[in-house]
Amino acid sequence: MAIAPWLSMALGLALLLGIGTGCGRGGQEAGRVTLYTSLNEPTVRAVISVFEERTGIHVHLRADTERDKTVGLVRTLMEERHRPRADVFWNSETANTIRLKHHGVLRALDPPPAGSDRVPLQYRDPDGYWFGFAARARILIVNTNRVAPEEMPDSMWDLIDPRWRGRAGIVRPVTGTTLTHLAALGEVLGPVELERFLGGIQANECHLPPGNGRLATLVGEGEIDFGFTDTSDYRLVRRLGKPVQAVYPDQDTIGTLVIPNTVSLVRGGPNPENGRRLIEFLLSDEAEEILAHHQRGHIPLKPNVHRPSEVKVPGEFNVMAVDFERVGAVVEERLAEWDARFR
Amino acid sequence: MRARLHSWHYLAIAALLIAGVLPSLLPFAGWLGEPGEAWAALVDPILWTRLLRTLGILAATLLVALPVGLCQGWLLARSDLPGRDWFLILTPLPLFLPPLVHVLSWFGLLGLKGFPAIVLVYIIAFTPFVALMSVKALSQVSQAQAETLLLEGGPWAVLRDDLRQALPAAGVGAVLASVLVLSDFAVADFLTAVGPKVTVYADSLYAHHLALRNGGIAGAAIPGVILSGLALVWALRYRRRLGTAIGPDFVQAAPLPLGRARMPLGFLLALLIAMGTLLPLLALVIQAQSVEVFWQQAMLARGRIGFTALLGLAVSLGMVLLSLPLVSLAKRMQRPWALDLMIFLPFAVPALFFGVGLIRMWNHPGTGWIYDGPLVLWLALVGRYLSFAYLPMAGVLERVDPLLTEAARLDGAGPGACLWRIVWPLVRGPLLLVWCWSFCFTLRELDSLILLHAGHQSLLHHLYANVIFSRPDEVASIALLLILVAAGPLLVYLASARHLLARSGRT
Repeated sequence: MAIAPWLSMALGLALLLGIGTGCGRGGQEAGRVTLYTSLNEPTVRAVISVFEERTGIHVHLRADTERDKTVGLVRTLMEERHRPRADVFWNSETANTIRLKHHGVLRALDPPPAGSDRVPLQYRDPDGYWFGFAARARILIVNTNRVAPEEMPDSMWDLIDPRWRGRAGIVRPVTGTTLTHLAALGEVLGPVELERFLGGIQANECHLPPGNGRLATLVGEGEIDFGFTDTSDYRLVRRLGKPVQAVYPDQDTIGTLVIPNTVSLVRGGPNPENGRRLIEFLLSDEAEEILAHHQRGHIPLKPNVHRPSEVKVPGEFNVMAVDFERVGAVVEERLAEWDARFR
Repeated sequence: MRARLHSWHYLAIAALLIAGVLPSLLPFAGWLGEPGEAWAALVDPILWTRLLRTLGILAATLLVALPVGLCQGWLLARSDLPGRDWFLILTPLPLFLPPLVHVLSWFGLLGLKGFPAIVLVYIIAFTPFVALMSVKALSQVSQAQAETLLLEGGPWAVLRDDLRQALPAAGVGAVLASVLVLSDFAVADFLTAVGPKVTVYADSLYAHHLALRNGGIAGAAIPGVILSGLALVWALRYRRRLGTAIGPDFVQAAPLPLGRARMPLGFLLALLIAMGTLLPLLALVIQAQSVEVFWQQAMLARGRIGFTALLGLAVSLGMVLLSLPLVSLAKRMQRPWALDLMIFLPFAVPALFFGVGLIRMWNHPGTGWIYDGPLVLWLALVGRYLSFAYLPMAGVLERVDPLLTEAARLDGAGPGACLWRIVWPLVRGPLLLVWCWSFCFTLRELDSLILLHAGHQSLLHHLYANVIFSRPDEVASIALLLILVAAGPLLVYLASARHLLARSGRT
């Protein structure tokens, strides 16, 4: 079949079309900064639109999806490390940021960015690789139609109490804040107590939804009575008018874990100066205030940041003392262990 | 080689290597970098437990999908079912919806969950593969063959022969379904959020992905790639037998009368098709609740809608045009299985594996202009889904009787005239169908695009970004927008399919 001219023309056209749609933007531009974030896009937009307006610097945003559970961009940052495309990484938790630091993907900020000295010490890296802001607490979300006030759970150990068999939930601990949370428990409680908790989760037939948002929704719908989630997910479900209540667990013992968002400069990113300016903005009181007033209600870490009264800050509740660097160092090992365990 | 190769053949091979083969192979370099980790992942008992569980889900799916798809295919191709042409046109539509949309739609409404729900989603989503392939095989039953069998052995002999013809084709459909089931974890993850957790083979790949273990992911990918690859190569070899040229004297066998079962079977088939098309759509419309919310979401996502539609258009065109020289090349090769393998490899490897390969391939200073823009998405989608254009295109082109072009040549017609006057009129209709088919498949991909810079501009990415955090009416609106993007090509498909059937004398 001799169809040469037509075919070559067709292929040429296809390539041309592809190239036509593909004339991409370069990474390095004076008025531009590229931000990779594992937070959801609408929340991030609420903050960066102010930064763009204030500085005239356009933020090229790339957000992750819940499906990739904060790791899609971590993987991309790892793969891109020989030719980084991002300037700044805004992660919704700490563990993956610390992993990226250990893999040489991040660059220390020296001198530290303005405003970082007001971030409490436990929420920033002493070497200047990452800085915490706008946190979330790991709370118990409880369906008030299904749990009577006198029965209200108030501890992580309630998940493994036989009276709640098949009624409680926790996200399968291989991703996100749940992975960090359980790794932190290992550091705080020690291996024996952690093993008791993990064994109890399995024995007590806890439900294992795919993400904290899904868990909060399931509690709101009454499919699960209560479970661990983040304050941000609780607030979203609450806003939908679902009968839910937040309980800050273990107030008399180890306290409630607070996990900050973290921001870092990417090593070798195309626009480091703009990256620093964006980081300084994210660490400002103004950014924390915007995020506190956002529907997700992030917890300001710096003192005296204006916030809605329902957003509780450390001091109003007892906070778990955690060394995030140590948690970050063990999290990879834990992930493999728990993926095998919760199979 | 049977015949001389032309420059465009080499060009097509180069394009195939660049778009599909190399990105599929590059992540296997992780095996070389971390051989211990890769080996540990490969021999991990959990990997094999999950693989067996996935094969169990697949077996349960095919246990229903194969007989149902076969019956559906037989009814559509060989019976006098009322409205069968319309049913045939509607049959592939569930394939164009990502499984998550099936899950979100009427499963979301009815609250089904657990192992049976997983199997049910896959049955609804993938039975059309079996049905369509059966239709293709059964449409090659000739009138002479059917009449001889009827005279010699009665209706049961005809049915037995039909089954003999359709079964391997249905197997090809089952293979396509199997590859997609093997690489999916979202359906099981979503539907076992409450109750006993079901983890699947793709969860093991995902765990290595989460742990950033390149060797681990390479090792864990091996069984899946081998299984998918072998099945696909078998399917393609069989498909090649299906695509034998049909001469001008071929007369398709007349439909067999169903008698009193005609109307009940028609109703059953309508119900089956409605479960995969109308019901999800209806459920999404109900969940979307108001036009205001839908319009608000449309305005918010208008940039993504345009981007997704343009990308789909460019990708489907690229897939169709690249398939043409590859089909021509396959016809000239003595061992076309090697080419088949190259075309199907990107579809057989796990999607996120392919995404990693794309980064490694294109994120370099010299090719940054490709990586930083949507061209990398175009290459990714053309490479990964080329098989879905190549497969039907091969069927279309192989059915053009070479005697026709040979006769025209002897009569003095040049290659251009042969193409324009003989081949083009025969293939333009099916080619349009292949284009529509390719377009809709490009809307399904997320896992590889999620790793790419430009991938987050797609509407499917937007849907996944909102699926947990937005209100159900907003999510349903976005899912409807995705269906609307597919609606343009689908309307073309519906119109042209009807037209083609009318021309072939079926209506």
